[in-house]
Amino acid sequence: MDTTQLLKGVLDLAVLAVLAEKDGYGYDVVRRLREAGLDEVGDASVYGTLRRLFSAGALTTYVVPSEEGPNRKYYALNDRGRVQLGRSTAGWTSFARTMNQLLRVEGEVA
Amino acid sequence: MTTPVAEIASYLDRVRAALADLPAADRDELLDDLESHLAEVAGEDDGSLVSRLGPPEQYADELRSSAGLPIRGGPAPRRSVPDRLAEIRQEPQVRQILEFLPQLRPGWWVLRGVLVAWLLVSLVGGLVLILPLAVLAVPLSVGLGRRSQAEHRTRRAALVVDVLIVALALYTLAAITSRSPDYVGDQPAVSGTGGLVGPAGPVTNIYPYAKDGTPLRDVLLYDQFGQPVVVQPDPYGPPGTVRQFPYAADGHAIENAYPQDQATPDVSTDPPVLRRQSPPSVTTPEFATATPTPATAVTSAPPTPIRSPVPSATPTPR
Repeated sequence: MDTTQLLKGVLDLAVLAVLAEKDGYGYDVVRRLREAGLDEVGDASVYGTLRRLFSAGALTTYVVPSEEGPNRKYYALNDRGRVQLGRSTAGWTSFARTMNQLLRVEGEVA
Repeated sequence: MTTPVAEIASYLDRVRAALADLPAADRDELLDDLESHLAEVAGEDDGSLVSRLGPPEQYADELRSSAGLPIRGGPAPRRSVPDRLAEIRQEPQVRQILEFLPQLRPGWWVLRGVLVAWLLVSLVGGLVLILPLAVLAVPLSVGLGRRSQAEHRTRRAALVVDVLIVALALYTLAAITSRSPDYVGDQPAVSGTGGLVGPAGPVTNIYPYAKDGTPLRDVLLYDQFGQPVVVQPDPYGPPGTVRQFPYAADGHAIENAYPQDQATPDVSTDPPVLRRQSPPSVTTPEFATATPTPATAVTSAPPTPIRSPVPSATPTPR
């Protein structure tokens, strides 16, 4: 099944969840999402989502200097972001439960 | 590195070109991390950037669309109020303020408790109760505040209640400061023009005595302009003070007859009873009986009073 459409809807939630575990910079977040199993997630999508979540006030950023290569901009959840994560998780759980029930009903044979 | 720096630069340039129609601020933000990202991807040693990330133009499209910016060639969407608010929220000073505000919340809870206690006191009276009421109200307010933080449902209700409390407090404040002198507020009202002031405070009643020390009643007083001498009600006195004027034959109240009949409520009884004010204790002086010294000639006779004829005020010698 083509999961790209599904993913578009919940990428915000996935990014928030990854950052809740640990702060991360763009490339790092992409890698962690892929390692978690979302191998179809696009780099540009993740970067754009990070930007958008930051604009919405759910993330803070800080720069960590690095000896080799350019400095890295890290993203972190703030209080608002944690609240949003909580709400979105609840929304997702409820939605997933509904879908699961629907599918079970569909699959049941009389 | 197998991929030359040139490939990164070229990819970067093409992405930048594909974002050229965006405002510079938006574009710069999107490009901010791109160079270091390209470097990391190039370091993966997994083939060319294009094979790994797709064509730069496609990357740019995906980047701007997931960032919530308009797609290339599409009409710029009208910046809605939530979007504009989001932009404002991004300003560093605004972010600092917004991140600090939640720390003030517990302070508001305390203030809210005090305000509610004060509102109750101003409605019911009894300023002395404000402290015990506040001691009760503040923990209640803090408890409610913490509950509304945890449960999002109560948050909106709490906001409505907060707005209500602030509005009531402002209204009560305005009402107190604009109260007429007849009412007693937290601050004593300054009496209006013409208020007599004696050495001990505002004059609210006059007790005339005859030369021999007999208290007089129904004495009419007029000033040098021929105007009746009137007194203001006691601005520091208890609320509910009643003044009873005698009435003239034509029905109007005589306000300059002294001593005035005044009564104040005695709240120690239930229900409160009006108690007539009693005259203060005075010791009238004894007039000297020595040879009268020639007094300075009075230049004018006492003025003619405006209203009904006045009985002679000269006491007859006894």
